[in-house]
Amino acid sequence: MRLIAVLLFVSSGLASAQSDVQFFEKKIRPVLAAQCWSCHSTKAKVSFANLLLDSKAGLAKGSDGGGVVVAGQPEASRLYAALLYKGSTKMPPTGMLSAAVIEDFRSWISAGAVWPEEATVAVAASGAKKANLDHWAWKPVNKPKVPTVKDGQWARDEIDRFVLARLEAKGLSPVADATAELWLRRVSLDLTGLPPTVAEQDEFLRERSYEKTVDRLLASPGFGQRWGRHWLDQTYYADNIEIGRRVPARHAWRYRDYVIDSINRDVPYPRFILEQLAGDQLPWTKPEERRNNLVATGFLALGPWPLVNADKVQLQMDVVDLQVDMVGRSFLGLTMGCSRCHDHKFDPITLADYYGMAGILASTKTLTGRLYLTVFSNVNSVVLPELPEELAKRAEETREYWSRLTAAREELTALRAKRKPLEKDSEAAKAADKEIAKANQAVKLLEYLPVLPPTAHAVQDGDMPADCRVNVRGNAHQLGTEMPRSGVVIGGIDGKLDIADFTSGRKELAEWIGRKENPLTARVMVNRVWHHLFGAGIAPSIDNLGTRGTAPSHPELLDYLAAEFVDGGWSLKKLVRRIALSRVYQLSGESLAAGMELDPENRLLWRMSRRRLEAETIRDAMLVASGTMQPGVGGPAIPFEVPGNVNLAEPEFLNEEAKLDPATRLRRSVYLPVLRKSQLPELDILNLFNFPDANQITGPRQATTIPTQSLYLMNAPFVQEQAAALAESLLAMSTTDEGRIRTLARRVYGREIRDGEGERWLAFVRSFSAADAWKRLCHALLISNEFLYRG
Amino acid sequence: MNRHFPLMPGSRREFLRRAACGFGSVALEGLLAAENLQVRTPHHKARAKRVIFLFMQGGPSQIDLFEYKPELEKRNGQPLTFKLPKNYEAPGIRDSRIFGPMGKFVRRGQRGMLLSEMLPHIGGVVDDLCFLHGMHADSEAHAPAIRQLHTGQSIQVRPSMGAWTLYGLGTENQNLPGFVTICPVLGGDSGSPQLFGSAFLPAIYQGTPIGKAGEAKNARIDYLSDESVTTAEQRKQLDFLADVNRRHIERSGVEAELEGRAAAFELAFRMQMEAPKVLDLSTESAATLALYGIGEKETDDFGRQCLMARRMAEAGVRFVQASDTSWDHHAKLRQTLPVRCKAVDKPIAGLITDLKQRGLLDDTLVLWGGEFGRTPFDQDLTQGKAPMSERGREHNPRGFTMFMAGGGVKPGIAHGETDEFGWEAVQGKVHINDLHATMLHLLGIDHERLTYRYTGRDFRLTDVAGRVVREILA
Repeated sequence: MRLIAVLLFVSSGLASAQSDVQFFEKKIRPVLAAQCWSCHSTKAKVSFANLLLDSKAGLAKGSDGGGVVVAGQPEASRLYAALLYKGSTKMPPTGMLSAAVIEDFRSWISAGAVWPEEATVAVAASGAKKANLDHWAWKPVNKPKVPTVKDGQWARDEIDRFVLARLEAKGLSPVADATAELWLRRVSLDLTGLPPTVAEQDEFLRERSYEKTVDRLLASPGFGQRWGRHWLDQTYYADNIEIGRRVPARHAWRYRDYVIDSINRDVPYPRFILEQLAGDQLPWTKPEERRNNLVATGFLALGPWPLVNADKVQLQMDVVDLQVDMVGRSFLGLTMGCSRCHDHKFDPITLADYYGMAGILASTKTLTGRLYLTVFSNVNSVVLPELPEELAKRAEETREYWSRLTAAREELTALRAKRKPLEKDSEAAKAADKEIAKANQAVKLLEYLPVLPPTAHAVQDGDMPADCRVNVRGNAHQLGTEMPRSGVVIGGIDGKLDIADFTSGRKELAEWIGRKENPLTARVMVNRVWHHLFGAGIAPSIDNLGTRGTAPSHPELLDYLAAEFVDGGWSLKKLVRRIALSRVYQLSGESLAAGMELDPENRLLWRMSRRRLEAETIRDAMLVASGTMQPGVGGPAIPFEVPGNVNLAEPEFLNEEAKLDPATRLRRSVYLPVLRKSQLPELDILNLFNFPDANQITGPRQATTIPTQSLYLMNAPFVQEQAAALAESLLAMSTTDEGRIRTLARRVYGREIRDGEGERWLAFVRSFSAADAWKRLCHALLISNEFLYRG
Repeated sequence: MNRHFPLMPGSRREFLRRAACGFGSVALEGLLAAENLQVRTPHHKARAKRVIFLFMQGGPSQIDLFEYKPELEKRNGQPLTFKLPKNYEAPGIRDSRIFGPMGKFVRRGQRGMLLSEMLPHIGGVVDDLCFLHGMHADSEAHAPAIRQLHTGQSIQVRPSMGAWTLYGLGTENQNLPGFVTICPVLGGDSGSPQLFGSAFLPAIYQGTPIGKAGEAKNARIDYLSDESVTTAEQRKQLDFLADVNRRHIERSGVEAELEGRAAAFELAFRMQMEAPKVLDLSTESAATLALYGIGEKETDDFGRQCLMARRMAEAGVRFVQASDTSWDHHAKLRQTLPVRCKAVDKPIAGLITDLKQRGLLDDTLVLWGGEFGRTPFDQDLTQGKAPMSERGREHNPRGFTMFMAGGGVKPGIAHGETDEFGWEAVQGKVHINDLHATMLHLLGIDHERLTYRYTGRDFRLTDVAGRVVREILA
């Protein structure tokens, strides 16, 4: 390389003819500027292969791979070869230049690659970690000292001292505590996503034991159902594969159940990470354990993969990109996606970090085989181990299945035989054809749904784990430097991984993420928990703690909780319990003039912020209030059995208007199908109230207010149905109207009726002559703010 | 990230402080959905105030309709003379031959522009149209190509161009949605609610669907009425609800969001009253209905969509999309393409004529096109069994035609062209990102400055690309 540089200087050092310079300025520099500088200049957002073509020095220095121009010898110049689109490097990647322009370059190089002298441009070293190295989030977590506060009475927990200290410094005081009723509704909704039943209200008001209540909620299945859904928000989980058509992801529900179960078992967080990233590589003794671990990798296997892309190489890297983004944002609060094409502009994330992680995921098999003739890939699946008794059960089911299928086929044959003698186009023939079509559908559906061994969408290591090369501008066919597989070099810890031979490195990556020295993992998790309990994280941008995120309001509290979380064995339940029992969590939502003036957004936590219930929580709360929620947990989500739901074309897909199974349609929302694109018509409430898009990683949920939501609340059959059920159950009570009104207040708002309220409600009921007057009242209350918000 | 409102942090803070002054001060003009949809000043002088996008799902054939290529006619049935890309894979093209254009091209308009005779009515308004023959896109498959056309991005989920427009400009009629899509395809390869979604933009910018594909006659907004009550009864119930909400706010303290939600019921009620009027075509004259082909079997559906689009444009809706489907002619092109042409030709010409005679075309940008075009060679999905007359064409994103009208574009011109076979755009190339940049430019928006911060990055409709096609600006 040095030799080439010298040659170049020698040549240009000669008194080059003025015409050569003119040629360069007229024919070469404009092309470099237009075609090359976006990737190869000091001003480029990206600097590929360390090649800079905006200065003489840059050209002389060449790329990572050495010199690119040999003055006088176009045939020996890599730059020229790249322009010719011969060999592995083809430039510019957007398309070959015209023959005339390429000829200009040949002439220019032949004439000595003249570049006039100019002020030196510093050649910036790419890959250097220059962006914002002293950002708070990358620093090690050191447990801060608990601050002293003036008011020694108020604080109940160290958490409260951190909050109070900031308030006192600002001259603010916290508002009064919430009423017991309000606290109970709040903590029930926050911990389980369900409002308290009348019996639960009675019990709490009798005993007034806050601790017992929190422990009850933590131990209830509702905890995992709600916090599992929080987790699913930060994954790409859905029950279908979207290829334009909604092809069922038949086994996706296992991952959903795994998440809920793990949270209910309070699996320590690093273990939870390890299972999801590398469950297939973990040792196991019992089949259940193995099954659990394999299902966990559904985290990586399920996603909005563009399976229709025939370009498998590009497809794989597009999948890897989505996975890197998910791992970055979910576990580390980092936005790594930018670095697919260039070093992150604001955070110290480089191409090396991105491709370090991408190499691990590219060494992993997420896709395999074909889904269908023209869909050239499918999601990888693995068969799960079974217990002997499960095997026996499945054998029994298989026998039943075959007898059902045989019967269905025989029926079809019989119907066809009966059809044969009928006159063409006669009424009888038409009726028979209809029956045949129905029977045929039944057979096809059975054939589509054989009894299979338990299977999961899961990842495995690929056949040839290897480091991966930079994809120029994200193009998987334009390869740059190879980057060793690694974690992210950030803050005090390096990303080096000691990857076992012939493995992808997922296990090592997971262990690296779960190290207690990793400054991000615990911070990100604690911050998320705070977000779910207070409506905003200590740092509100919960999936981006980078420099473009929002700074934490209480950095010491965040670090304190992070340290405690790690010291306490990374237990989610312990963390939630502690925060839920704090004084600050107990505050009312009262608005005080001083607070509104100094801190209207309540970042200092002088009160509890009100928040609209999430889409699924509105639905679930309505079902609890009306008493219609169907029991049952877990299991497959897609309603295959409902006639007309599955289109048996190939590949078989779920119809857009598919209906829920009547036996389960009023279950808790988390057990109903989650689809990519939009949810089923019967679950339109989810579409309207900002249920997350399964194709994206969701941080804070949106909580918009739009008139179409109001139209839904006013007119949708689902809301009407719940109002009617609630009214019916009130009318079935053997009590007075006043008694009914009291119960209604407790079921809808979780509190006693207030003075004057009962009279107004009854007056409304009595102003309607129609039989559905009570339904009108229930309807109005179910769509009122007090119900739709958690105070 | 700001979860609720796309306002500057300062103004949100200011608002919250104002809200503390007392109940009622903000009730209706407040920080509700409405305020965020209020009309905003554009970056520069706008040439178009609104957009009507006529989406032809499937990929209309530029070769048979818009760009006459004598070379194709000459070599019809001959082997391909150009090379397909190395990794090109498509069903039924192994023995493909050059497939000449079907039907005749005729000269129309003052400049004698060549146009297929399958589009006689559009031919009549050709002097108002600006053809883009150098369109190109990135994806060969419907779903990603359609996503790119609607959102600028083929793989990830991004806000729709209608949502970006609304985010940039707000809307003029607060009693109607600002972004409406008439009869969208909601499922399958060819449609998705994401195409009119707001993705990471606040949900107030998402499009409101009206009806379903192929059902323009019954098009309505979902949940617009409750059949079981009279309007008076519902009004009484809403008054009761308003009272319950007011007492709740008095008790719990004033909060913009609570007031916003309470007020949204009023807005919904007004929409319930106004939207059916806009969608009611019975007040239109017989001549107007005939102009759009309403009442004729073939043109009724798209005619209704076009007329609804005009009524909404008049009523102050910022972005209206109408959709026609089934332009995906892999087979039997000669039988099916004329059917599609017939279905949209008169309605589109009717819309252009009607907008013009009402003075609306000057500041309404009409945009017509599909997600890609079609190949100059034949495709046979029956593995050689179909006679040439029953073959079709494969998707082609490398070069295709779209057209614009009104809203500050040069009328009566054709910009760009594909190569001699209609295979690849070679001159006046316009990428989908460029199309979006140009559309925003006409609306008074600098596409590089219309940004929204999400996960720490400023996103644009045009991502990191896009060039305003200045050559077509009037």
